[in-house]
Amino acid sequence: MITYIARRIAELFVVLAVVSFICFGIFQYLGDPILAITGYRYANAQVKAAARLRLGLDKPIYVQYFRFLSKAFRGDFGLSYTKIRPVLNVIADRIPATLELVVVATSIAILFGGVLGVMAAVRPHFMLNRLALLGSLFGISMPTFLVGLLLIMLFAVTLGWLPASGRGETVRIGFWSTGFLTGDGLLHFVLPAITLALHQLAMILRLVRAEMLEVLSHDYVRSAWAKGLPRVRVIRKHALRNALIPVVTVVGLQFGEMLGFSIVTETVFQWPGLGKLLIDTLYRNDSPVIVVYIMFMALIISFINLAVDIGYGLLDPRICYD
Amino acid sequence: MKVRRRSIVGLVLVLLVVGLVGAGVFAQSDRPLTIGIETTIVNMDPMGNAVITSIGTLRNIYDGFFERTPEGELIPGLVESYERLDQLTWRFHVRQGITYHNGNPLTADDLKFTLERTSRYERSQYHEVGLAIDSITVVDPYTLDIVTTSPNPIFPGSIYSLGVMDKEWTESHDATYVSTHAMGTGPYKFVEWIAEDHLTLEANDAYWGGKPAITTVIYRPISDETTRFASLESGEIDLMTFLPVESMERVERSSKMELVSKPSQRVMFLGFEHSPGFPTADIRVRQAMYMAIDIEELINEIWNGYAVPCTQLVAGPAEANPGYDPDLGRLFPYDPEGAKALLAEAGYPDGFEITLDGVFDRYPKDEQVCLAVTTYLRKIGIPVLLNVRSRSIHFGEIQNAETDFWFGSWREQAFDLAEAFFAHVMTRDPAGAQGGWNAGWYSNADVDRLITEANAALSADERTTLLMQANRIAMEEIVVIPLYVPLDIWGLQAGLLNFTPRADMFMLADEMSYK
Repeated sequence: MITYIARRIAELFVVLAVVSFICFGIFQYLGDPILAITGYRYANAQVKAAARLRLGLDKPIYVQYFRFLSKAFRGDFGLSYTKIRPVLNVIADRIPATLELVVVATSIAILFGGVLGVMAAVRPHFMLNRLALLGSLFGISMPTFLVGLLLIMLFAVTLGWLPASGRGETVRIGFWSTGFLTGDGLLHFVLPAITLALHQLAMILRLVRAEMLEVLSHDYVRSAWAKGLPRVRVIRKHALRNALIPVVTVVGLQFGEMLGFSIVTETVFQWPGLGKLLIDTLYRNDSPVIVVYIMFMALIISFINLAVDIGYGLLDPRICYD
Repeated sequence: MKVRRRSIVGLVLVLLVVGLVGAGVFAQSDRPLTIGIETTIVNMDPMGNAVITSIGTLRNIYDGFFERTPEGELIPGLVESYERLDQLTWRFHVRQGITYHNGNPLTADDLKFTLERTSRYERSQYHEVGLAIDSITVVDPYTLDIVTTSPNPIFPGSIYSLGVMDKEWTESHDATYVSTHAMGTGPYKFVEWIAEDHLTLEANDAYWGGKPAITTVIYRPISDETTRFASLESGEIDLMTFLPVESMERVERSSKMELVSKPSQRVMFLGFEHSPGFPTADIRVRQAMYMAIDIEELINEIWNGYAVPCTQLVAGPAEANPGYDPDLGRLFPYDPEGAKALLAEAGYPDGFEITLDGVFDRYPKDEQVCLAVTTYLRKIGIPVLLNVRSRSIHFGEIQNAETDFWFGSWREQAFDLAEAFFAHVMTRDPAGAQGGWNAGWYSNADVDRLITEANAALSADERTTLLMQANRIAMEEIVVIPLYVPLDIWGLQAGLLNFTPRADMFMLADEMSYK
């Protein structure tokens, strides 16, 4: 197990190196970063050339890349071109907002998706379960921005029950700002969390149902029924546990993706998180932030994958990594 | 399940009641004003960015050398009066008895420091300003002499968007601090800024221009226009910038909201390549392309009428924009048949290959307008291709002259034709700033000479005459096809505010008050 983890971590470094190199390559085609530094309006050719020289942007791309790497190894990721703050602080500031939103959304998705999925598998002809299954099709096929806007129109504008945008009042505990501790903050979670959760909820529902249907047809489940075990025990212990493995993979992967790339939800709800940061810096050609951001996301997603693989072992003792 | 639902409704009700009671406790002037702005504030350094929304918001904290009336006329600011000693030298008299929010007194040194910082501070986006200054002398603590490198009759107007910084405060903090905090002499003090979430300001009771009427102001960036409008409709914000055209009808039908609109200073146009060898170097081709466009129809269909046709590179009116020609109508009216004939005469009966470089994420309706233009040109037989891309690529390509036909725009911040022409019309200098946006390499010695002469003119009338001559020549030669001036539209809660829209789009809270 330990050698397995060590090997995966070694692979991680390779992934990061490749990701950062690809980012650097792509920036050649994403517009001229010098305009992010000197501005569009008042800079002339001389000023731009001077800034290029100062930041080493006149050098070939591989030279820039190795300079970036050697600085990164010393923990120096540079300053954001537009925000004029250390890149790591810029990114770290946005983590609480997104992480809290994603945790709420994932909890909603797992809870409702899981329960509805099991019910749809166990009692397939029950009317409500059929409705849930039908509804999940909408959940999968509706574009996020539309769901978000419809929710805003209904709950914020027409009914006036919930706020339409922003994070509301937050409380700062050390470096972490949380929206969980104020009523206003909690209300602000509702619409974006539902929007973000909907797609995943639908997927989990369908996945759990399909897996459960398969597992329920296995011999050992039939024996469990035959033994006269209580219904709940058969479903939970014998069936659900074995149906969960693919679900864990999907939840894990989606968690990472939502963390880094909930751009649409965060834009529609003006949620001051990571996705909003990414789109904003892309527009402004703030390449130091984008490169580090994407590396950071690669790191997180790799770790989540690792956690998912370890999770398999815990769920199913037959899986072992030696 | 039933119990749970009831408890949620209960919770919402309790919070609503608490909110309402809380709101009632505030006296009207203590009610915080929340303004929804269309893009995030880039940073807090008044010269760290040149984005209108950012500098216009920071202007609440930092006073300028000069101010402008809402219509755009230049009026005294921290510089109480000035004289032009000779063609190159300006003498500024600084207003006395003014203190910064931290208690430091304002002196001529601070103004000198601010002007010098535009080109000394490496992250400044106003290098042009500092580079155009030869020397600055502090004559006494309230008098400043500035020598420019070349005659610039609009020097005071050209530095008006700069906020004056305290030398001591700025030098004693690092760049990151200065980019995340703000301290000036303005009507509002900096309280808190959380990027992408909100900026909170508090009235400066000791402000030299009088205590602001509204005590607390919160600026909230909400970049999605539909969400921004929903936030206005649900009452989360009191005032919003860039009300989407689609929402106009809803506002007009609503008793809760109202809208205020004003022609902006922004001119939208089509630019093209003038270098020999390109079809668009032939004036008959340019004229045919101009005649192909039905601007009234475009404005009605795409903008619901919330834009006005324009015929030149500045938006007017003449009182605010020297060089703007009120008598200059559309020189080549809409005439698709005539356009076809002209194309044939120029030797392109079947058109020619050309690609319109457009943008989809910068201006309201940008992509639709590009599409409409393409359709008009196809109707007269030019098989135009459309290439819309993000602003992060679009502007760089124009500045680097990597486009032959583009959807362009200019918001004249100095309210002066010479500035607009310096950027878009005068002969492009690959090493300098002149013609920096002239991606089509248009060059006309007469226009260059007239602008240069105008800048050396000492009388304002003479200067305006020269600028108008240059304007007429360039427009007759169709340096660009002017399209329209969009209206700036603000939405606000009905009956709440006295709000005068500003031509420069600055959202100055001290000019607002509750009704």
